[in-house]
Amino acid sequence: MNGGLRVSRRIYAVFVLPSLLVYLLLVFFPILTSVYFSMLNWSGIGKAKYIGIENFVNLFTKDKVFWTSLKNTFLIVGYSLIELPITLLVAILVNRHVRRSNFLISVYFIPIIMSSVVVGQLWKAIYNPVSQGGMLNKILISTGLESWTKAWIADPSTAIYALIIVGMWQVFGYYVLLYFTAIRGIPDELFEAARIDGAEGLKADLHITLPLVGYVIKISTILMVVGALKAFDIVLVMTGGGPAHRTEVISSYMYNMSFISLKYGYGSALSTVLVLLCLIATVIMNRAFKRFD
Amino acid sequence: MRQARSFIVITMVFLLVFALAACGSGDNTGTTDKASGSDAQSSSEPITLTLQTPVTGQERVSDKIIADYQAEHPNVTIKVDALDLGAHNVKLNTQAAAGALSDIVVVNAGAAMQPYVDAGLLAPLDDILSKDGLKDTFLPLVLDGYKFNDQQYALPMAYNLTALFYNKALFEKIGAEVPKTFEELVEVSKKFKEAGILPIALAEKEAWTGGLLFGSVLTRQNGGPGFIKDVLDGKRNFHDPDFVESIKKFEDLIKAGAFQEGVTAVDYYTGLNQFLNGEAAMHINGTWISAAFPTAKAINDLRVTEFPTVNGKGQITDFSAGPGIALAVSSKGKHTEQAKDFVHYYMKHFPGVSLDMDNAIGIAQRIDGDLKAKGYSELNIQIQELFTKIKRVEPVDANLNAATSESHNKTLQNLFVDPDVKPEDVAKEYQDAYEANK
Repeated sequence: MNGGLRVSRRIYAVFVLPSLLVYLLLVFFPILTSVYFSMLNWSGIGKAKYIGIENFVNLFTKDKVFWTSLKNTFLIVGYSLIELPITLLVAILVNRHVRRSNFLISVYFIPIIMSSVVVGQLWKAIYNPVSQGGMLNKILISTGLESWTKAWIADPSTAIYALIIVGMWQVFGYYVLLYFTAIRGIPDELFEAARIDGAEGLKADLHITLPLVGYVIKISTILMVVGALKAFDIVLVMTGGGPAHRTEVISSYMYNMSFISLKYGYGSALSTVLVLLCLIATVIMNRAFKRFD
Repeated sequence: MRQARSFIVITMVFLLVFALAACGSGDNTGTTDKASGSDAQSSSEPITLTLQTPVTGQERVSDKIIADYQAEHPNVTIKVDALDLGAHNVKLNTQAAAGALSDIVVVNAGAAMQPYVDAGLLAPLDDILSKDGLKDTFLPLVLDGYKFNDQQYALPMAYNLTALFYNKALFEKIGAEVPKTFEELVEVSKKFKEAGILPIALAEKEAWTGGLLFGSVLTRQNGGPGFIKDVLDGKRNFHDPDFVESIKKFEDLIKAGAFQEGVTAVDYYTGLNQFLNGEAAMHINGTWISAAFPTAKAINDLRVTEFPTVNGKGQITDFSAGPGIALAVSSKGKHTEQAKDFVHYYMKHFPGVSLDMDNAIGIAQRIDGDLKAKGYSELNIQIQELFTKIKRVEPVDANLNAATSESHNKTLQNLFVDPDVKPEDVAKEYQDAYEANK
């Protein structure tokens, strides 16, 4: 506290306390209660029975659907991680080669502000079978690839990938924007100096852009992974987890268990697993990035 | 700088457009509050009752009865809290978990309302049922689905049965007869498919729609109602030959190509509207779909008939039928007596008002009057006739608990993408799910 505002600890506390309380009440408290609920055999109504960790034992040892949903969730995380470098590349290229780049970035950003229900229905119209006017299948037929046509989101072999593409499309613009603004923030002098030293294009990107947007790479990776772990809305709108749980992810399975099957305790166990996964992922990523810092 | 501003402007414009679009659709499904317009001086204290209901498509009827009641009881205000069915059920469960329901709530019959009764959240309604002969207005048997420990906990507004809806014009187009047996149903489906017409519109994204269809097959193959009850009583199980045969029949229909391509991703209203707009030859669903008839493009071609027999077994006078949504009163409310009085008034006037408003199909009470003269469509009159043919009833989905039904429906959903699963394996999955969720 050299100069400027002198703020005592008490003042700090006064200012932090209200939002801290709200945070504890709305985030921390529900997490704790759902951990408690996860140890109950409870339909959500009436009497609950305490059963210890039985829900978790069933989850990990007997429940095939849980493993499917876990696998799908990790699949989404994996593809999201592949998407990140692509968004960075696009941001670099747009920044360098496109003159009115802000317009382009705004266009990329549109899917983010669209409601997931709209996005889901839109993509359903693309994936539908020809008999229901599916755009993708129509294109395949008109280009002579008739044998490739499929009911993309109803066919177990393609359904989850079809959903992943929608999810990737939806968040694409958001991460491009993040990187784009970060790159814009790099002073031009650095690039000029590099050019004098003979570093241009890719070389400059590698030695200037990458290190200087490092903090954005860190934050966007965490956001992306946690967002992918929580994937829910697109799945619910487009397939509801079907056909026969093939596209179930942890959160959709949690929703179905809690509110359709009325196994509230079991659903809470699933949500506890999800919270833990997010937590572990965040810790691991923070550790990993610390090396680069 | 200018570029940054244009970015902000574009973003803001899109935000605004989508916000407006969201508001626009919100009006249809959002909460509707109806305050009493009456300023009359009342002798008694003002009472506000909340009615928690799903959007039923019958709002004209309930609005009228509520307005009439408020006119007669100036001190009472009925506040309607209407959500779509899924959200309504979630809200009920949330309220129940907190220990208090709204004053008047709409519930479903059987196993679905049992938890509320067991938790002591609902008030018995036997006294208003015996008042003014209200009990005699109901169809026979229908009240039983809401009875627990010999007490009546809800009064039904809807009574639904499952039937085979078909498009007369499309059958004439390919020169086929309406199927009387399941085997004919499979054959005619193949015919329609060859002619490039969708045989049966289903909406298997909602897995219960396949469950409903399968329930009818099972009831026929079983020779009548009672299979699920036998299972619950421990007399039979899902390895039963009749059950296995029913699954085989169900797979036959799927293999015949009777349903939409990619049916497991078809939303409920998409599937329903494909039939209502004349794109599909048949549809198997509950009679509650009559609420959607006013907007059906092909309504004049649509007809209904009994579900066909399977392997020559079953009576067509047996129906998969289910008591539908019902009014119940919270036992924890501040004005329980007033709420009960309202429910009594509501049910007393429900048949009459429904009849006048072209909405009397599939209600749980008797209606007096000539439907034709009132301008009811041919299809609606046919449905009403089906109700008079009921001899025996298999309750739809009301006996197994939510987790078991859901698991069974998902097992069936799998058959739509893989109809070659051995019926015996399906039976095993059914039995396992039943035992795991007992």
